[in-house]
Parts: sequence; C-alpha cells; structure tokens
Amino acid sequence: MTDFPPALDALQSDISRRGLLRGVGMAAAGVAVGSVLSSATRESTSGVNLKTVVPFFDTYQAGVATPSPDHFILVSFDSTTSDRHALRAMLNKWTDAAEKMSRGQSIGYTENPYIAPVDSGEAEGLSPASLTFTIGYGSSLFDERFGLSHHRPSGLQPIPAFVGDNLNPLESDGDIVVQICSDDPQVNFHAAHTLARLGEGVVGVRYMHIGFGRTSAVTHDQPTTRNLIGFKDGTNNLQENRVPNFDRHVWVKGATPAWMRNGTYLVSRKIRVRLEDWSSNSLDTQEATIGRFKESGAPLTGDREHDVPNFEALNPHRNYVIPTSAHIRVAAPSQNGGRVILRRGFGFVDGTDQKTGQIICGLHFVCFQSDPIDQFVSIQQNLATNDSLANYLSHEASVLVACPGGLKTGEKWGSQLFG
Amino acid sequence: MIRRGAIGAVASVLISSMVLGGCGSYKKASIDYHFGLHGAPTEAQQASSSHATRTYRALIVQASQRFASAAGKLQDAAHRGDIDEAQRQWAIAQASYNMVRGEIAAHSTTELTIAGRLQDQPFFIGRTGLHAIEQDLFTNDHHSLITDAESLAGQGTLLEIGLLRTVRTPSRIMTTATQSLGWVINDVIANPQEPYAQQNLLDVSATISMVHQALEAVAPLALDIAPGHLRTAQQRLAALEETLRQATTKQIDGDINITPNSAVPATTWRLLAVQLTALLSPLTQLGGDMDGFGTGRTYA
Repeated sequence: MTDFPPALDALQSDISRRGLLRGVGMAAAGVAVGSVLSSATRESTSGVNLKTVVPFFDTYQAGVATPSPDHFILVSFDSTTSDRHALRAMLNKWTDAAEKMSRGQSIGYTENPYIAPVDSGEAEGLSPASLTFTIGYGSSLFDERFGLSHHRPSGLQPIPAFVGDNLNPLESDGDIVVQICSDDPQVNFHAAHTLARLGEGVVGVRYMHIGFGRTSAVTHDQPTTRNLIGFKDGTNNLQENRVPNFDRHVWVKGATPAWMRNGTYLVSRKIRVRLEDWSSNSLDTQEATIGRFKESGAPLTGDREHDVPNFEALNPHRNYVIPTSAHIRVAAPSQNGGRVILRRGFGFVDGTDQKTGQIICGLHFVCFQSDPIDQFVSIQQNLATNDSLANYLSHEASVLVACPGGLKTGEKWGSQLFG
Repeated sequence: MIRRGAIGAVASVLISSMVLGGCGSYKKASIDYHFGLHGAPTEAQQASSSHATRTYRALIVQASQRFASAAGKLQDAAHRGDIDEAQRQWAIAQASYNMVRGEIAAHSTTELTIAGRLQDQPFFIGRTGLHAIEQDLFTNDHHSLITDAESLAGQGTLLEIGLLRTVRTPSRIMTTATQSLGWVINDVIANPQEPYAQQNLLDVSATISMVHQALEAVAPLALDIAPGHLRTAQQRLAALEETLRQATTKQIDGDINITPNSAVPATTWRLLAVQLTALLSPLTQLGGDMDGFGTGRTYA
C-alpha cells in the first residue's frame, strides 16, 4: 500500500477551520473574533451569503442541480500508481476532507510544530461559501490498472473531433476530475490544493481550470448573468424548478455499475473567445450572431428575456428575424431533436497572449447530461458547423467524466467505486 | 460572418463551396435592400458604391489570376527539378491566395484542397496544396513535389473561374477585410502557418496589402458618409504598414515578402499584432457605416 503523507493520518472531525492551524485549544478563544470580522467583511462586499452550507451527503452529488455559485475550479488528476487499494484509500480520504471543507471546517490539525500543518491554512477564517465537490471518473480510469475495466459506464465514449477544435491534450481528459464550486475563490483554491496534497503518491494534478462569474442559472430564482462577450447566457437553460423531467435529461437512472445510479455525465470544454474580433463587431452583427438583444436578453422576436423565440418570423425583406445561423436558433432544443443539457458555465481569463497582446479569455463550458453522446455530442456537432458564433471561438480543452450518484451519510467515494 | 456556418450546406461542388462566404442566410446577405442609417443613397453615393464593388472585384480577380499563374509555373519548375524557382513561385502563389482567402469558406472543399493543414479537424486530411508543397520544398524530401504541384495547378484554374464573379457590397468588403485581419492575428502571428518556410511575414504582408486595397476601394463612399472613421482607419493602417516596412528585409516579384522569421524580433511581431488589432474597430465601423449601400448584385 502506498504511504500517505503524515498529514493524511491526522484528519480529525468537527474542527472549525476558523483559527486552527495548530492545536484546537489555543485557537478556540482567541481567533473567534478575528474570524467573525473576516467573514463579515467579505460578506458585506460580495452580496452573497457566504455562510451557506450545501449538504455533502445527498441522493445526487452537489454541484450539479445546486444553485451555481460564482467561482469554479476543475481539477484533473492522473493516477501515478496502479495500486487499487491506495486509490481506494485516497478517495476515502478525499471524501472525509471534502465533507469537512464543505461545512467550512479545517481538515485537521497537529500540535507538532516540526511537521507540516495538516490543513494548509489558506481558508483559515473563511466561511463555507456554498462549497461543493463533484467528482467524476474519466475513461482512462477504467483500463486494466485498477480492475475497473468491466465497470466502465456506457456513456464514457470518446468525444469525436468537431470542426474548429484546437484541443490541447495536456489540458484535456484525466483519470479523476473534480469540479469545485463556491462563492469564494480562496475557499475554492484551498479545496483544490487540499485534494492535490492528499493525493500525493497516488495521483498527480494533470491540469487545473479556474473560472469565475457563473454564466448559467441552474434554478429559476437565479437571475441570468452575462458572459465575457456581454450577452446574457443560459436564458433557456434546463432548470430544475421549471422542467419536471430533470430525471430524464440529467440523472442516470437504473444504470450499471450501481455507483452510477443517480449519477450524471460531466462535459467541460475550455472555449477561448477571440474577444478583440468579437468586440469590434457592430451591435447589429453581435445581436444577429446570438439571436438576442444585447441589453435585455430578449430574442430578436421578443421584448423580454424569457419570451419564447419565434424562429419562423420574417423581416420585411423576407429574411428570418433570427438568422438561420444565430446561436440561439442552432442551439435550440427544437433544432436538435428535443435534446437538452444542463449548463453551468464560468468565464476565464488566462492573461494575455505573449505573441499578440490579445486577452486570452473565454468560457469554461460545463454541462451535465444522462447520455453525453446523444445529448452533448449531437448538439455540439450542430453548433460547430452551423453556429455563426463559432467563428469567434476555439475549443482548447475537453473532458468527459462519469459522475457517480450521491453518497449516503458516512459513505465514501472509494468504497462506492470499489465496493 | 457565416463562413463556418455554411459548411453544412457545402456539397462537393467546388465553385459553390468557394462563394459560400458571400451568400448564406445572414441578414446582411447580398439581396438585402435596406438603406441603413442614411436613407436612400444619392447618385454620387451609388456611383461610389459601384466603384467599390468593381474595384474589389478587380482585386480578387487579379489575385486569383496571379495565383493560377504562379501555380502553373510552380508545376513547371517542379518537373524541371528547379527547387529555387519552385520556392519562388510557391511564395507568389501563397501570397496571392492570401489576398483571396477571405472569399473562401473556412473548411470548404476549396480551402481544404488548396491549403489544408493537419489541425483542420475533424477532416484530418493532412497537409494539402500550398502547405504540402511548402513541406516538399523546404525540407530535403521532394518526392511528392510533382504530384502536389500538379494538383495545385489544377486548383488554380478552378479558383480563377470560381472567383470571377465576385460581387460584394462596400459593407461586405469591410467585413471580409476585418475577418482577414483576425486570421492574421490569431492564425499567423499566434500560430504560424508555415513551419517549414519560416516566412510568416509573407502571410501578414499579403493580407495587409489586400486590406489596403479594399479600403481604397471603399474610400470614396467612406469619405462621403464616414470621413472620421475612414481617417482613423487610414492612419492606423499607415502606422501598421510602417512597422511592416521596417521589418521587411527581403522581397521578390515586387511585393512578395519572404523575410525570414529569424530576422523579425518578437517585439515586432507583438507590435504588428497590436496594430492589426487596432485596425479591426475602424474597419468594422466603416462596414456598419456603409450598411445598405450597393446592391451587391451588379458589378458592371
């Protein structure tokens, strides 16, 4: 069995991370005031309730139908061992740590100043901030290394190349992928950092994608926000409170292996936007490309954001008001055989291109579905070839993972996967 | 705007695939007669619009003829085993193609035949046409040169025919120019196209020349309706051309820039990209200013 770093064995329960880099005793009194002030300061400026805790144990994994917070990390890991027991143990350790962090707690402490702190400490004093973990397993995990080849979920098929793909394999795929979301970027970072530390010796980080500013509402009470090209994004998203058949489109029911029941498939695409090209376009061209008015978000045939687009409406010149290549037309369920997906996108900025000075930015397009080939692939094939917005986009990374169902109280990811 | 969007409709018919960049279903298609913000055009404005359409057509036709001519001479040189002359004609053909590439639908049969690259997913047809010949000519492996050159020569004739009736409104001309600049920034400077020849200024220079001539074509109309935007575009273009001129160390055939990449410092590439980016907005604004002028139906 692979040795874990000493810190792993010190995971303790129910330790508030407010003030506990060392022993619990000395922190209990002195740090409380500071931590309250810290949280109050953040909450007063952010406008969101950072004290919200999203239940970790549930029928479904958090981070899918959960209201989408403002910050996102997708961290991908590759196994560095073929020891299934080590992997199982690591997943169980991850579960313990993730459950604590989602409650805003430290993952543990040590009173020995001569070893590294159990908890790295950067979330010290911070609130839970709606932190969620959504774990998924990539196709590569189901090779011969761990004896899982007979348990490969049926939806883990290769995603075909699409027109305009420019994928970087080093930023794509991965054995294990964890989506981490919260309303505090530092809480997010701490969570990703902690998983990476706990995984040492068993897995290594393959890549980490960081996003901000959710672009799709997942519940009807969340307002639609704008993406980096300035348009409201996700107006017509599948929303749990609006669409009664969430079970049909998102959750996997009656599946084998058993751990996939109530699970889903996550697809994430890192999509760079050529922002300078886009921004130089006239308002008229931008709105025709999207099919919506920029300010209101209403379809070009409507007045309000949630008006149903009329794809048959013609202008006086007998052209479609919503052009045939407009994004909302090409992406509409009616143009895709009724297929829908649940979107949870986040913007990203990766600095500037050293050669051109252009801003490297875009969208981490994340979606969930019960059948990725029938849903995501079909829709994306249509978008890649027929959507005029694609002229400004370059898909630079891609991953598909199978996300297991939620954990029962006390259950762990390793036990769920390996039995 | 919808070059990629038209792919679904592309059949294997070569000529139709060439002109898809200009006809599609986008609402600014050539049969749209609305008059934008300016009301009905005056006679002088109509004349300026026709001038733009005719001048631009001449630019495209001349470039396609030059491409066809160079492809023919390249074929002859390949048969003779004259690599130096073949390299020279390749550069002329490549530059000429860059003058017209904005008129050719992305990933169309035409583009994938004349300039297919390994990264043109999901087609994976490998390097074709100009890119295949570049590899043939700038490595020591010439065994495919004659086959590739013969194929390109055949395409030259078809390209010439296909672009013969290019008819664009002034607004559309500016849109094509803007898209071409975007290609130079994102696909030439950020991700160089010719890894073997290592002469990326070839693409930059030809495209800037095309944009310059396109701007000249619409200038009379632009001077009438949007002199401020025209002046901004001309000033930024002049600054860009000055940077290009200073970076250029080697030309052939009058205007074909074969300056080696090694002679161009990274800071110059960066400056070129920044100046190209700065030109996008005024050209797009001019395109919007000229929306509705010209019918796009006649060129006589």
